[in-house]
Amino acid sequence: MTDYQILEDQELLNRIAAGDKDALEAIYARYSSAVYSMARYMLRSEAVAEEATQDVFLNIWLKASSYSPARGQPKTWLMSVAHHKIIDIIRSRRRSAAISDPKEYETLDLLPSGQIGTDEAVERNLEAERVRLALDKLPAAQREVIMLAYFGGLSQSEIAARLEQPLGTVKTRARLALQKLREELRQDDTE
Amino acid sequence: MTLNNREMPDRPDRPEELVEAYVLGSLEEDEREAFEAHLDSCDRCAGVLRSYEEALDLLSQSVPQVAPPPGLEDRVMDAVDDLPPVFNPARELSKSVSGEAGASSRFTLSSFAMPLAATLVIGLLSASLILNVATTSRLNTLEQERQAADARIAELEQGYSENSAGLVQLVTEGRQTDSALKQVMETSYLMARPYTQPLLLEPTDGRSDSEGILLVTSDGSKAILMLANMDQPQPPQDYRVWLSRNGQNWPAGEISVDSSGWGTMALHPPESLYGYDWMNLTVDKPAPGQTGSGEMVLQTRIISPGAQ
Repeated sequence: MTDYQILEDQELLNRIAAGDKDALEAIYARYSSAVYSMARYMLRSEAVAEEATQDVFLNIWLKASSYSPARGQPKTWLMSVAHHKIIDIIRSRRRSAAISDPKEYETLDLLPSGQIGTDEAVERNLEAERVRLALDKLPAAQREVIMLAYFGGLSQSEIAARLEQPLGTVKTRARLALQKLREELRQDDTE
Repeated sequence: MTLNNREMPDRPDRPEELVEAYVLGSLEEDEREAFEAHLDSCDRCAGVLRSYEEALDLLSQSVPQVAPPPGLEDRVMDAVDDLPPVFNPARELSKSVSGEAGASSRFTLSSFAMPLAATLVIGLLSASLILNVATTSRLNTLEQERQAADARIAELEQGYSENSAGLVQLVTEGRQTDSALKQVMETSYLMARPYTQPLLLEPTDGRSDSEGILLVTSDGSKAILMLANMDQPQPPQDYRVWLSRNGQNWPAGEISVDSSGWGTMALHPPESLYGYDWMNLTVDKPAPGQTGSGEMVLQTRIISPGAQ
């Protein structure tokens, strides 16, 4: 009998693509916490976050065959599927009714993570701290674009309208911000 | 007239300019799908995307961590069970095309949704919508025809019918349907490719509803021509397709349209299509004239992707 816990993510995705539900359960065990946390933070509602998490894993079930290593690590791909799904939900909710003000995402408030294992929580807090420090080093205008896009789910046109800036400026800020963030977090690694 | 193809309000972003927007989730859904299709064929963009991997992983984990509620896993698994058994009609359909399963298995549902995204970018929205709907409905009809033919063949075989001529005819019809089905799928696949150049063929009289889309691969080696809302020519005949350069015409083939005005053909020109200036579609007048001198119906200027 296969021990799914020891299988690599890539192998689990292959099995999901072939219709293996046990593999999906194993992926859920590994990533449900990260996905739910992201949904909870971005959607600001427990009920909607649960629904979003469910949709994310359904998406993974349906899209696993489209994963290829050329797109990066399975983990990054999974979280990108989750992030995009959550953003779609934010946008559809925004279209149907006003939800939380994206202004809330202009600062990344790090809350203690009491509900997961202590070691993991400490590690996650350290990682969050690294991200916060890296974000702090960005010019305010660039940081704002990252926060509104990544956590607020605003499209580039929406950000441009909101900041009353030309679309091209928003695109440039997003690009520069992400490039700087990449460098900051990479340098941090070598320290 | 066809210079409309040049009149684009904004230059679309080049794919490599979209990596950061994709990573941040700030692309619209259709742009995202188009970009993901592009990623599968572009090592450079995929490489840039991977360079953000570490930053992205940290960013996604930087939010406060909360454990999901205990009952959620069961709900996820139940939802998977509730999915209809065939959730990917295109994939299932491709399997049913005898002998083509391997080659066609790349077609997925997104390939059928993609034409819209691709053509939006270059401003051919209305035409692509019509053709997209026409493609999908044609696909359904062909699949039904094929199933009906299969059922009749099975009946005949089971009854040890001596009517072998009927059987041969049915098998031929089945093959023709398969071939048409494959062509429609090829069309969808080509439409989904981000580097495919779509060119709009417009009526030369400026009034008719007829129109066409020519989809050309990035190197011009292959193309698919699709026509919609075409009149049935009188007397019955196929439309003629011409490639023109410096005022000289070369025959590129003939294309027939069905009773709904829909027609499609694949082109494999001897040299790149981008080496020609125009594609013209003509129909012979009741008294056929000299080659290429029939009545011009549709026309497009051939513009290479680099010229935009």
